[in-house]
Amino acid sequence: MSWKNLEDPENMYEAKRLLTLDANVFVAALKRDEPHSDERVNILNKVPTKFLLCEPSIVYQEVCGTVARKIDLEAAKHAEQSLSKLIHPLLLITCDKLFYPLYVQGDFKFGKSWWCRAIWYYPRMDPVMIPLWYRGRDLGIEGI
Amino acid sequence: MPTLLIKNVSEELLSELRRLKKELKCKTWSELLEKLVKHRQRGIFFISNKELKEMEEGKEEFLKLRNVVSEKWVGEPGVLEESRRSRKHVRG
Repeated sequence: MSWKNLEDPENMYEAKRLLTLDANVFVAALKRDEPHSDERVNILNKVPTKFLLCEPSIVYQEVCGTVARKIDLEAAKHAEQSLSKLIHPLLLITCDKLFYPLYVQGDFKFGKSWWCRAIWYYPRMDPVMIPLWYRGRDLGIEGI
Repeated sequence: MPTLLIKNVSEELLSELRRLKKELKCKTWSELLEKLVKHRQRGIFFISNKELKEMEEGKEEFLKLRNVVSEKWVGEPGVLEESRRSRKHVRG
């Protein structure tokens, strides 16, 4: 089960996989001298053609907060506006107490965090989480 | 009860709807429609070209920040160190 585009019959059955990127992945994509920054950009460049982002709402605090601290408020606002376009509202998971029970049942490869909880919100879509330490193809994710 | 008549349903779409009807264990088409609407936020929903275009724009706008960030934030602390500092904890 996945996304389907009903307005484009040719691509109607093209499923898009969900990705949950750690906030650090977004930030590392913006900082050119960060190791593997270009790889992070490559991942982002595959959204939305191959992947759609499914993120916990804390992504705003972490990405925009970092940009505000290290750059300025204007840049942080720019980041906020672009993230709002980039992440579909239905795939932005509110980090609240209703969300909490969804993650306690799972066996987590990357530890228990809001980021992993976002993955388990849409288990039937087989989402994948990309942590900061992701290096190329070591997770064996097709298409990245 | 009102009746919904849908014309010009393609074979592909009908096949997909049949699959969904079976998978979601719906006895009737109206039950399937109801489930699709109710479960929309938990795994099944459709995306429009407009929304896809907006995501593309969002991505481009986000990556435009790369120049500003890279000019003003050079070297240490790295992203991970900054993140740990802001989260006020250390993770492996």
